[in-house]
Amino acid sequence: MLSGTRGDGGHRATGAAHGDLEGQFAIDIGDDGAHVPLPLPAMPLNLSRRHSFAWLAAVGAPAWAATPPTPAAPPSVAASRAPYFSLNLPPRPLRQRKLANGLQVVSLPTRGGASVSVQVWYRVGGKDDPAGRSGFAHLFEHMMFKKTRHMPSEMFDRLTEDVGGQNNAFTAEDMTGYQNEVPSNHLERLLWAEAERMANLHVDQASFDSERKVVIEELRERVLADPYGRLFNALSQQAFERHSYQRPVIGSEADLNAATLDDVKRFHATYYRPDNALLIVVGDFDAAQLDGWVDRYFGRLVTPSAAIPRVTEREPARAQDARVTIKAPNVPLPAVALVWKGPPASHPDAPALEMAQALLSAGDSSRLNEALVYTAQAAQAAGFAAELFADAGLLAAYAIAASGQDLRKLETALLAQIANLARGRVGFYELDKVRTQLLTAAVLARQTPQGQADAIGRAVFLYGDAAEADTRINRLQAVRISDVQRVLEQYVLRGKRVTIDYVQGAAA
Amino acid sequence: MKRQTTPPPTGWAPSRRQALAVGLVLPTGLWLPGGARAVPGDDEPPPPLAPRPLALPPVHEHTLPNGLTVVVAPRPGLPVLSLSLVVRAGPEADPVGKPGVASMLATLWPKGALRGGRPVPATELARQAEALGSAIDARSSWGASVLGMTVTSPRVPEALALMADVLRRPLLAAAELERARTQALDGLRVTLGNPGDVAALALRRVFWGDVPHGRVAPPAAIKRITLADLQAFQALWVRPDRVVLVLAGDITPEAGQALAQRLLGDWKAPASAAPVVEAAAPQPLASPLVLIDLPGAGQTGVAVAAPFVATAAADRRVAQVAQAVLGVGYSSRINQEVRIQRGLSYGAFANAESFAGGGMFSAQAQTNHPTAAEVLQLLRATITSLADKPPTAAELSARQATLVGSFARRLDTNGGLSALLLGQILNGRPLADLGKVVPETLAVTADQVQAFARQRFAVAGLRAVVVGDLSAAGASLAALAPQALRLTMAELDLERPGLRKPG
Repeated sequence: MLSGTRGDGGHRATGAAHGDLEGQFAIDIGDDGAHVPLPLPAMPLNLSRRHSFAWLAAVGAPAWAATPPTPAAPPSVAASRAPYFSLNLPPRPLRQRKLANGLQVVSLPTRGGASVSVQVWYRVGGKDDPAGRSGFAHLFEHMMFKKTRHMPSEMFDRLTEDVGGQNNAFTAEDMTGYQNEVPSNHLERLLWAEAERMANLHVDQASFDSERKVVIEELRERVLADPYGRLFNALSQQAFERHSYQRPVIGSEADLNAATLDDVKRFHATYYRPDNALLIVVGDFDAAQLDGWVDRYFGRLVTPSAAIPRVTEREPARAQDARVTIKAPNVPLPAVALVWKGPPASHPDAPALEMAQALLSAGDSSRLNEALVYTAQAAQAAGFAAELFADAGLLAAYAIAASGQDLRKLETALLAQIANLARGRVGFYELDKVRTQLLTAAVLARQTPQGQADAIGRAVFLYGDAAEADTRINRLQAVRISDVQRVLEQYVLRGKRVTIDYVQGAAA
Repeated sequence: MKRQTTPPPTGWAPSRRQALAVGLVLPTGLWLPGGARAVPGDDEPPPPLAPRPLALPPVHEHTLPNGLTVVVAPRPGLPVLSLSLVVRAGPEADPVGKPGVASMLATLWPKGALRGGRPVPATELARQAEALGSAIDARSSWGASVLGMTVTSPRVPEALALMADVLRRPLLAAAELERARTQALDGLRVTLGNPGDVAALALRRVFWGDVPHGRVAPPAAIKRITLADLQAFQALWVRPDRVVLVLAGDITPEAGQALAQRLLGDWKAPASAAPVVEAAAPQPLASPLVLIDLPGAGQTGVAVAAPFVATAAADRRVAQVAQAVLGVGYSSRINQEVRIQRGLSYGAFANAESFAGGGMFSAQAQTNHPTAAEVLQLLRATITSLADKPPTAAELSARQATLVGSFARRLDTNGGLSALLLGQILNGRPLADLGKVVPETLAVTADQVQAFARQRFAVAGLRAVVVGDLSAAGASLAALAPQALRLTMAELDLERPGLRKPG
């Protein structure tokens, strides 16, 4: 996933992996405490976190998991409190509409604050890249900030940043999201502008050529300049055998260079239409006024008669284990990643896999960190991620070797930890810890309009139901340890895998 | 994604009300060809409504009898609270020749503590913390070392008890130092393979020179740190009259103060006066350009520094607006030149830092090797040209709005609010001054920005570092810098003011 607000953008590690990473209090030493990204003078003493960030940004795992990750043995402080931690999180009063042209609208008025998040998500992502055009959905996302019939290029910056708001966008495997946050008195202007670029994109050759160069630099920065960029870019390529998820969302330089202005026009006409979009509005607004504006600006958009093409490829089960080696010119420490196929996001096993991910890799006390990084000192960082997309999923375990450590031993240790969780005893307090972590993360995600809108978008696109934004936490809390053990046994221990060694050498 | 996240500005503290007043500055109406007036809502955006007022949240400050400062910012609503326990001492207080001590100490805090008279090792502490829903975040920055947790309301007392033990009674075990040292050295191998990171580290050394803010801790320094160094730092600096507790979120001032008194009130301050860190002005390297060869690097990192204001400077608001015009927000000049107009980088932005003895402005971008020289020239030229090209009225108000909006968004979260409050305290400013930020920001004029740029952003004051595959960068870079200091990674010594290893 190329995440927008979700990633920090990669520049400095002070940012959040998922919106505003609250638990990670950013030290601000600058004037008035505004974020001067921390002078790493204080050179990175805990770089493992950075790797986790890179990893988690890549796989879209929740922010709390970004803190390197523990098990069993009742903590002494826990002994004094009630076993199951619970907190009353009231369901959010979501308002849902569907316009005659097919546009889906979910809105949520919130108290307090004077800002509003306006997001439009489209059901098109990296998996829909045209043949020979890997990376196109993402390149196209950049073009959506260029000229329209009634707006000059970069007009969205005038409407957001220049009045104290912000905008960004992300492209993932299954979706592309455009995210704005503005002072709430600007809501109507953003609705107008989003409807305008959905209907009337007018990109010219010069801005297309220039922005393509930017995207290629983005690819270089994410994949080539980051010492582990090539490894994480390879996971989907190795995990999937048939589905177009195997093409990286960022694409290849050759395919990006092959794209044309006609491709842009065709892509916009094919996918950017009201019946393929979701409008999300969260924050300070008047409901009746919002509905009137939505009717006025989006109601007049026309839905084309042509059907929207959909990827229908089914990913088969892997027949046998495989091994690959990826070489790159600057690999400070070799790494190993194991990838398996997983179920789609809406599968009933998804919550158990998410719990498995938390048990294995959320926090310093998670199993992989405690065993591989802390106790054995075999790894510089280690993790497990369940990245479940709309049509299929991938599961990955990885470790970056500590100096001088052998990758085969790391692979064995990763598998042993997973087997231990799947077949061994799991203490009650360990499960309670993970539930508490998940619940805390859910509360934190409610702090901002952008965070709430993001949760709604994911719920609709991956689960088909906006209310999943709230029920998700309940489903997670209901997972039993026997569920976790069953899914690990089924998908991982009995599943076929690809083992990827990542080492220094001339790139292929 | 469309763009990199822009680093938020170096500082701002508007009240939301004023923040939103900025929203009245609008793009001028678009005109249709043929002179027909555009129709708002059809061919141009509809006008905005009147801005909604919003005030800064109330804040309560209190000092315990032992000198420990307690700041409570109650924000009822969500059942969650951010806790920050902060020592007002960080890497700028590292002993000379021992960079990395403060950072290493912060790293070791959560790696074992005495709790209720019993030594609790690292793994158990991590479980205790994470069972409360939050890791213990421990880190240090120039003037501060910080422990942070964010937990749901019922877990607040346990979380603060844990943080207090970790800060006051760390075990600082020898085995944990070795473990952390190994981790740090492995981490540095990764950092030193990333052209952008190397450029930022070297630039710091080049601009500040051999004063505390120019010191970075490369592998050799990490290897020298001893347990005695950590114990000495802890004994000298970690005392209640140098500690600040910030609680932001679901708690009342009374409950916050009572909790602080119960868990931190029995901590006795030493009789001796608290130490102070001497301010030091930058002592830049003579060479205006340093080229560092990193063969096989995926991109080239380009970084340029210029003088900036000290913490207490009268013109610091002007400085912040000048920084914003150049490099805060997507539409700032540097990103316009490098990314939007020329497509040379995924993003180019500017940071700034201010300390008692001076400040550093820095602009940075990553680009393809052959365009490194072009990006370097663009960064330099954009910085220096501010003296001749003050912001237009629209540009000025847009950059002011960006600063104000970014400040306002920080107020949205407990963590953001904590950071703002802490920044005030660390910089010796009254908390109430947060309310002045918006009016002061909006009062900055284009003439002031120009005068500031003339004074600070002259060619002679610039320093630059380029890190990448220099052979792939080609002749343009070499031609640009006949007098550049040129180093391989093997020759680079970040501890030496001259950057070059002896011998």
